[in-house]
Amino acid sequence: MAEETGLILAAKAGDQEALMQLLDARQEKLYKTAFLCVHDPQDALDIVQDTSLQAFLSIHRLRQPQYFDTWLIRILINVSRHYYRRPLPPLPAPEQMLDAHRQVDLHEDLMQALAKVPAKYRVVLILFYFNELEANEIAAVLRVPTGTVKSRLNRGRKWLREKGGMQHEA
Amino acid sequence: MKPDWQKMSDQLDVPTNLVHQALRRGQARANLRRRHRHIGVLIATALMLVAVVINPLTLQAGGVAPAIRQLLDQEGKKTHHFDPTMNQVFGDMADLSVYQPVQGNHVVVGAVTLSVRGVMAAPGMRALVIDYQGGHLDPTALRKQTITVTMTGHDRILDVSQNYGQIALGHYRQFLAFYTPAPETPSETISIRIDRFNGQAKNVTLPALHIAAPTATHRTFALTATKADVTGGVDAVDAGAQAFVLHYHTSFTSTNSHAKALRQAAWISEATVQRHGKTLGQLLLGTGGMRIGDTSRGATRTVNFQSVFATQYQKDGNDKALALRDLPADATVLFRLELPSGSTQRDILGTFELPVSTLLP
Repeated sequence: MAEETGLILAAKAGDQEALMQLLDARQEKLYKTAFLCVHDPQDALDIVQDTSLQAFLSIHRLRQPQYFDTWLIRILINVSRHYYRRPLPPLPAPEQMLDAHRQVDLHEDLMQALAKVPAKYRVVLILFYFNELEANEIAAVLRVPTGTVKSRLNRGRKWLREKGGMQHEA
Repeated sequence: MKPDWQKMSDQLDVPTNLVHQALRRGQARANLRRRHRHIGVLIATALMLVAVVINPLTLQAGGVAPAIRQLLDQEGKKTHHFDPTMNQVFGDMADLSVYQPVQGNHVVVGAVTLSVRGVMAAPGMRALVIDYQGGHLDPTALRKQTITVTMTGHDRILDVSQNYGQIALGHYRQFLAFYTPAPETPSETISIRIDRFNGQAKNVTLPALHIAAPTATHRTFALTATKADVTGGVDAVDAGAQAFVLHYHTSFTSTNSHAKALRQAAWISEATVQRHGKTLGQLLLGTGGMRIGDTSRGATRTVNFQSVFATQYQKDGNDKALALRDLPADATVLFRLELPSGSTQRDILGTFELPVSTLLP
């Protein structure tokens, strides 16, 4: 943690390699979050690239090192909004998947369902379930009141349940 | 069936080489953009020496109403940012009190005329409406332009948000909004530089805009709270009809173990509207925790900050914004001052309750 804080402070001071090291350490999270938002590998890579661009341009404005991850995910979410209005590409049908194992089907069911959730609910679902952010942290990322996050979360869950084929969700 | 998010995440393949390359490309583009900024400053300086015809523009409500369904569009790819607070503050185009006349408002670039149709100002926030008229305008290219805004008296501005909309054939309108993290001055000059104008290798600088600071009522307070050798307090409010700037500070000794972090940050970013102990909603935050400056007296250091809020609030679970001015006189707003700490949780130094009437002009 101390080493990471040191890297963030170095990045804030203009050390580009320190920031690259921080981004590299999060490349899986960045790519997966982007992919879940847009469901297209190439768009996800473009989003990662734009996120990196914005991070390098604005790292000096990061006020608190401990909020680096929140700050970074906010950039990624803002960047990915460019892509929302594009229709989400259909995922390959299960029989076309390389691995047609039942678990993969389950995974694809959720992916397909998530792709159909309206963007503003989808982002909240991704941040809550996948990035494991609390409602107040999501509120900080999206700059909306916590209550709005909670309501979008509820509506997103409801959407998944009713239109995504989910029968029950804890 | 319970959605298994972890399983879904685990099963997503990550092309690590490609992701690393994407990160590197982002870094390279950032460096390129910085170089372009330096070149842009030189071009901007040269262009500003060119005399430009100045036409004062008196704004009419219908005159600036942009045909943009939402000023800053959350759903579309029209903007990098979506800022609901800016939309609430500047979204009512019939509210003339936020408009200011503009002088020196147009520039011709090839076959395109750019003109600033209006400036809207609220405490801590500004917005501009810019028209693009002419041939060969490419909406996709317009959206890829890089806009740089500078203001006299402000070292930096925050969160430039923008959106575009088509008004007619060959006529596009741009809405541009940002926060101003510095004390208001009686008058100010806004400079706008547009890089990659209309998809071309051209940088354009609009004529400097001279505008007055927004009308605001300044009120001072002496509210303080102390916790663990740190004192914080709310000092003043610059209250406007659409937004207000809250000024606050923290004081601590240089021997404080968190002095380094305390020198950098403190936040008032949550404000609860309440009446008779019942929560009515949360104030819409524009931007919080902007560090304005610091002073030292002996071993005591005082750091000043400001936050910008709209004079509107939202009930939990409800997207509709309500106006503070419609509340009864005994309604209050509870501000929470938070400090950085060693953990990921922020420390709450204290809360400050102010009557709603003190936050309105």
